[in-house]
Amino acid sequence: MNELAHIEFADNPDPRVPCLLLLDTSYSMAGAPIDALNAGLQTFKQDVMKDALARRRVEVAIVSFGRDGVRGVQDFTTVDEFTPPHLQVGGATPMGEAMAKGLDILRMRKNLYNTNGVQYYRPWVFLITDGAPTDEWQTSAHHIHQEEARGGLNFFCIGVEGASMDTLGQIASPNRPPLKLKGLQFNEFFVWLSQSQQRVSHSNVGDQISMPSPGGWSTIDI
Amino acid sequence: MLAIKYQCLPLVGGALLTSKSKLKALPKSKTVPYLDNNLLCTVVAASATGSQHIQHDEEGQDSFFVGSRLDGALIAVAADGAGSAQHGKEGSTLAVNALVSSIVEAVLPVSDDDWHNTMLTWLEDVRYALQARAKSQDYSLYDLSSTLLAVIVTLTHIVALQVGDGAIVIKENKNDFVFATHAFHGEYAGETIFITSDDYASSVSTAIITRQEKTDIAIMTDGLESVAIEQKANRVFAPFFTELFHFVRTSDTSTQQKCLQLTDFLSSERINQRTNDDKTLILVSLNILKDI
Repeated sequence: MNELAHIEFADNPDPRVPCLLLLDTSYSMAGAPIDALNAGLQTFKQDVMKDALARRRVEVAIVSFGRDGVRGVQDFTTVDEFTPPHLQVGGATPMGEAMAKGLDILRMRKNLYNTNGVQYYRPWVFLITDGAPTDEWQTSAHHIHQEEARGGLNFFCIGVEGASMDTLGQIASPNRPPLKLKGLQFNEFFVWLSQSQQRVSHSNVGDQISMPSPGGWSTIDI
Repeated sequence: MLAIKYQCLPLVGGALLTSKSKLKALPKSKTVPYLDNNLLCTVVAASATGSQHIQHDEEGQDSFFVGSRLDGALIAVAADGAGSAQHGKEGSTLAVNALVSSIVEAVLPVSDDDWHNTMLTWLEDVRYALQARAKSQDYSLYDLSSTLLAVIVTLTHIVALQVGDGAIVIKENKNDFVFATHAFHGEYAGETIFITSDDYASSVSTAIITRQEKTDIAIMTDGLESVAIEQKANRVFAPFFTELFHFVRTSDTSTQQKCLQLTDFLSSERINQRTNDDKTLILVSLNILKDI
């Protein structure tokens, strides 16, 4: 073993696992829901940090819609450098605009990866809302569906108590119906997300690998 | 038909071929059998299960074989079962067995064209074996997905064959290494093509090299890509191989010991900090022809 202990290694950046969160911060999320969501983001960071490889590979970006319209709260950053924001509520629900912005920052991130020779896994995009869109959403939803059909991302819709699941059903991808969060179990959701992203960051295929069951936090199994 | 005798045991993860070319799986063994030196070259090889599998109490998905034909031709094959395939390990083992079986039974070609066509035929043999297994076990063909990499060394030629990711590299000039064949990489990390893929044929990469110039060849599965290749430039990281081959040629221990040391190296903390994938590495150091 001694003779091989000092073999030189090539210097390569870690492959990335891009995870985009589109989060509803509209007025109806006031009180317990936004508190639970903020706590959930902390839980997510803490859980991913336990995995030495995943915390360098999982990259999270956050776009909020509600307070101050659509906001790029966090551009893609690896979890080990991520400081969970403290989201505040207000305003309506410009979900369509948020999805469009999400697609933009994802596209820009992939360009950056390609320019710098950084490998990446298929991005996951999560839309979390407790209501219905108050802007035009059909166009962005269509673009997301096209992108997913092309294999460009995995899109998940999560409805919180009060969400219009019918509308969410149309926004969600045809073969992945929206999930309903059990009560305000954001913590459970974010632990599931962390575990799933850790599995992706360890995997050696772009295909979906066996994820932990979302049954713990949602009322419908995938 | 040549009577085939195996001068050396295949290493753990491969299959034992009898003189009737009947394939038997090796019982699981903790020992690493050593290789008698083939007249043409020295081979040190090892494989280590990735920590991603160990963590989840799963077996590794890489398989490989190193052996010789009676005529002294060296055969080195490695295969990496797809992580998303239900029976990836079974697929990689079967792919290795089927390819080795075809190679040992073949009358080796002479011209470059013949070599290329023969290798394509061997790949069809491998697919046939996988399809037959899928059918008998009621699997989908995808369940047995695997990449496949092989090198054959004769007195006159070095030939290489690749389907999927990982790499086959060859020494060029004094201290440089280049890709002998080309990998297939999809848009996403770890995405590749498999011998089971419908469209594999357009991604097969072969190399037929006249023996004189080259002296060191290595086969690796994709677990080592991040330490052995400069990914942005898509260039072999030569020092990794130069230092490994220095070890192969100069270390004052038996081949068996070298294989054990290589296994330790592949399972080391240094490696695991960079990758938790399965890793297989076959180092073939050719003896200089005039010494034979």
